Formats: sequence, C-alpha cells, structure tokens
Amino acid sequence: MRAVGRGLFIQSAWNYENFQGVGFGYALMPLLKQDEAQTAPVPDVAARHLKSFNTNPYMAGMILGGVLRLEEGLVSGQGSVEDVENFKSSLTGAFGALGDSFVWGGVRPLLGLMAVMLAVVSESVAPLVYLICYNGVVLWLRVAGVRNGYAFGADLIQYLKTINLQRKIYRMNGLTLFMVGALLPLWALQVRPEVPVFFAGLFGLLVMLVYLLWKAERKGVPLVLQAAALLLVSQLLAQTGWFSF
Amino acid sequence: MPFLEVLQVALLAGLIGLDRLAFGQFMISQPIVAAPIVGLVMGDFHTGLLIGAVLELFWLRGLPVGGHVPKDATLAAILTAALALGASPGRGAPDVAWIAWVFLWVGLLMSPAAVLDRWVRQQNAFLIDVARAEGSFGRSVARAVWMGVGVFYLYYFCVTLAVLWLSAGALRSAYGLLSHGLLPGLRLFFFLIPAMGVASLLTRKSHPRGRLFAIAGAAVSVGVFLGFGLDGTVPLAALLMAAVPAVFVEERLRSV
Repeated sequence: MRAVGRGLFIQSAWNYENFQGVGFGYALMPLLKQDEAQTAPVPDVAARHLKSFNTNPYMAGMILGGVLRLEEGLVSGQGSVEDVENFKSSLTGAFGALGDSFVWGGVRPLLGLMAVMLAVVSESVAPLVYLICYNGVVLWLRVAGVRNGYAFGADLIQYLKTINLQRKIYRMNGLTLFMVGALLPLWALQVRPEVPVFFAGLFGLLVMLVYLLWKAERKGVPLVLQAAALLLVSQLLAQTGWFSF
Repeated sequence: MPFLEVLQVALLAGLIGLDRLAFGQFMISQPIVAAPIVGLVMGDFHTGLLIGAVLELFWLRGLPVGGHVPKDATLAAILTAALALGASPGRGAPDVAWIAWVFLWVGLLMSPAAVLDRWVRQQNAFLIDVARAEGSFGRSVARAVWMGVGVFYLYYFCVTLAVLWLSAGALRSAYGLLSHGLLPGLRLFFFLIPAMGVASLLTRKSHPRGRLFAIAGAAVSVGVFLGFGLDGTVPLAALLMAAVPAVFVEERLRSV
C-alpha cells in the first residue's frame, strides 16, 4: 500500500529530461530502505532508478512491483543490474502504450460520455458518479498492479496476458461508439425538450456537423479553422431563423 | 470580478490543477468535475455543470499519449466557469451566448497556455539535480517531489489569477459591443461545440462495426428518451441494458 500511496506522486516532478524518473525513484525508495542494513547502499540503487522513466501513470505500479522484486533478487544474488535495467526499459513503452489506450483512450472518454448523459437526466450526481466509476477502475490497476508486479517479477508480461486489456479495450471501443450515437439525440433533446421540431432539426444538424468535422479532422484541418467554420454556420443558421434562440 | 473572488478561484485552481499534473490523477481535473466545483464555489452549480458537460465533450479530442501533453482541459474548464459566472453582464444565470463568448476567449488562450505549460516542464529538469543532491538521499528525492508539487500548484494559481484579474473586465466590455443580432448565433454555437469533440473521437476509434454501434446507439436513444422523457435515470439504465449485451453479442459473432 505504501508503494501505491507513493505512486500517486509519480508525475510530481515530470519534466522533459527524465519524465517520471524522480517520481519513480520516490515511490521505490522506502521499499528499498528496508534492506539498507544488509545490502548495497540505498543511494546507489535509488540513483539508478532516477533515470528516464515514462509510462502511463496508472500502469507504473506494475513496473514498480516488478522492479522491487528484481532488486530483492539482486540482494540474494539472483540476476544482475543490467537485468533490472532491461526489464524496466523494455516494459515502459509497452505498458505506456497499453495504459494510454486503456485509460486515456478507453475508460476516460467512455465515462466522460456517460457522465454527460447522466448530467442531462439527473444533474447533481453526475460528477460524483464519474469520479467513483473512474477511480474504481484505476484503483484496481494501481493496487493489483503493484501486487501482481511484485508477484510476477520478471514474468510480468504473463500477468498482462491474463488480464487481457486488449479485449477490454475492444469492448470499450464498441461501447463508446454506441454511447456517442446515443448522446447526440439526447444532447439535441435537452436544449429545448418542449419543441419536438427543434429536437429533430438540431439532431439532424449535429449528425451532419459531426460527419463534416470527422472528414475535416481526417484531412488534418486545424482546430481553429474547424471552430471558425462552426461559428460561421451557427451565425448563418441563426440569422436565417432556422434555429431561433 | 472582485479580487477576493479571483483569489478564491485561483487558490482552488491550484488544487484542481495538481490532480492533472502532479498528484493522483483522480480526474477531479476533468471538465465534468472541475467546472461544477468552480460553479459550486461561485454559487451556481448548474451553470458550472453545463459548462463542464460541453467542455468534457469538446475535450474528447485530447489524449496525453507518451510524452505528448495535450491542450489543458482543466485550465479551460476553470477559466470558462469562473469568467462565465464571475464576470457575467446580467443578473442570475448567465446567458448561453455569454458562455460561448467566454469559451471563444479561453480557447484563444489555450495555445499560449500550452507554451507556458511546456516551459514549466522544461524548467522542472532542475528537480533531477535536487533529487540527486548530496546528503540524505531519501530526503533530497522527497524534496524534489514536493518542490514539483509546489511548482505545478503555483503554475495553476498564477495563470488563473492573471487571466481572471486581467481579462474579466475587458471581456465583458467587448461582449457589450457585440450586436444583439449575433447573440442567437452564439447560443446555437454553444450547443454545437460538442460536435468537434465527438468528430475527433470518431477518427481515433477503429472498430469493425463502429458505424453500426453508433447508429444503434442513436436509434435506441431516440426511442428511450422520447418514450421516457429526460427526467430520471430510467432511460439511461435502459440504454446501458441495450448497449452492454450488444457489445458482447458482437464480440461473440466476430469470433464465430
């Protein structure tokens, strides 16, 4: 739990030279200190872990647990410093990409969409429900990550296979697309629920705009131009009286 | 805006900003949470939530992948909510056209803010030396981490303080100069902002039956929300009860 707690600071000293390196050293240090009496000086060990480190913050716990296990192995004469370094450097990129896809690309947008929908139908609880759901998922990643990272050690990649994040990402993508489709009519309806014609018009307009902006986004049209075009379209439609507010 | 109110929001912004950059990543910093918090502090939770919802959908576009730092949704949510509520020209709940106006101004600030954000992170490299300083090693690393927390807190505090203090009055004056004929267009624009975020999200989602899912979601949504209305969580629960099995059935069909 101490590693999980300290892992919350993993990005505190984020910089472009060693990214989360200082935070990783900070999270690892108290666990290394337990061996201070009988092993190599802690500063030497910790200094190795202040090097560049960059992964998804929620996945860092797994690597932390694995590194701790390997460092303990070093104390008892198993493995080498290079093994620890290789383990760390080989996993940061892979875990980062997977964590980014799972959390930033999957959990966060899906729960964000659902929180907005909840805000429309039952406003006051939406932020709280969002926080509870989101942190439920990432708490699992953080706590189980450190524990299983330590349990699996050098075989950490095996653990990753057992939890099958790829399949979860695939399911979340499907669910997110379903919710995107569901959001648009709801969003159009909440603007003026008492006027059905307005709902139909706004829903149609939203669908058309999403399609055109999707095309623009794929062609790399800058966001500023997209926003300017949207502003222009809004003004034109409002001036013609099609959408009167 | 009165200076005490600006100070109050800036102190709060520092705390919320820590969640994005330095501590926890519990997502208190997401617009759907941050804007209502600012709204609550400024006495209008409802408008804060409306702003948070629009910005949450708009920021479906930014992903912090690898070393890439996307434009700051947290700062945008805090500034938009604070300016919309604190500098509103009318009494009571602010006009949606005014919120859209504030959104456009805050949107323009996001590029300079991103430059400043990058600069702060570059300067943070000094923390590596602090961490490696001679003496008690554990303490020097802890010092570096806490200094990082302080730097990020100050960043949010200072930027929020400066923007609110310097731009609230000018923004309201400029809004007063707008022709009244432009306000309906701004109101419509506000409700169309989410289209940009949704479109961006769709470009990133690759799924063999993505279109089918989106169409099914829209169809079910029209049915349940027109049928049940907008009040209560029943329609949302019905929507989820349709969505979750659909995902599993699709997966089963794909594997067959």
